[in-house]
Amino acid sequence: MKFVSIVYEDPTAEPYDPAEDHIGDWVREGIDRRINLRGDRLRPVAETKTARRVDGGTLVSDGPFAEVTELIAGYDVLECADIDEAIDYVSRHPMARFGAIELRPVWPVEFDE
Amino acid sequence: MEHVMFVINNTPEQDTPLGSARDAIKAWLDEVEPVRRFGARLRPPADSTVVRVRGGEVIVSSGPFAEADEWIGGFDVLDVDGIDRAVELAARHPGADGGRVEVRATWPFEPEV
Repeated sequence: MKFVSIVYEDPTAEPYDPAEDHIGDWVREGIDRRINLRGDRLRPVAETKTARRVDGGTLVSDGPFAEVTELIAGYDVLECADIDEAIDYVSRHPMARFGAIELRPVWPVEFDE
Repeated sequence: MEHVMFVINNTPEQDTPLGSARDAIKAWLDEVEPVRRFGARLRPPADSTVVRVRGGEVIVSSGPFAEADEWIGGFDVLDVDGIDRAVELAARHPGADGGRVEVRATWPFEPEV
């Protein structure tokens, strides 16, 4: 099962402690086990650009349009045997403790009927 | 530089089989193929799983991180020079027509020294 794992900041979580941030070890484990296919941290939300097509034209604005992506700090793409393996792996992501992780199952797009 | 593009959905119809959008999506995918490093349609937010660690306990809940009347329906990674080019390509995604796309640059961690 493939997941996009979205890393959120969560103001209700405990304060971030760099000494407890073992993100390098976490990524390495996922690569070694071949369950973490790619991932990255994202630039601050203020640098977001939003695009909409309205009446044939394109409107581009600075910042997110609404709060949907406001707290997103990063992402990972996981290929796991099942949801339990994905839960176990992301529960050890430092941001599971200092934020929250949302696992979104991928929905394959079929172009051949 | 890789940029992440979130396709924001706000109607349940966007979470159904592609139907008439199929050709437009296929045309967009063909256009961005040289720079698209990953992309996925995501299952609806009700199929999400959120993982948090609080006080040393792993807390797993179903449903999205934040209940909202909008949600991330698609996720793509575009490898282009500068966010303006990423936005230009993102704006041509069919999801920007009547909806919107939000683009953020990635922020890779520095290699350990």
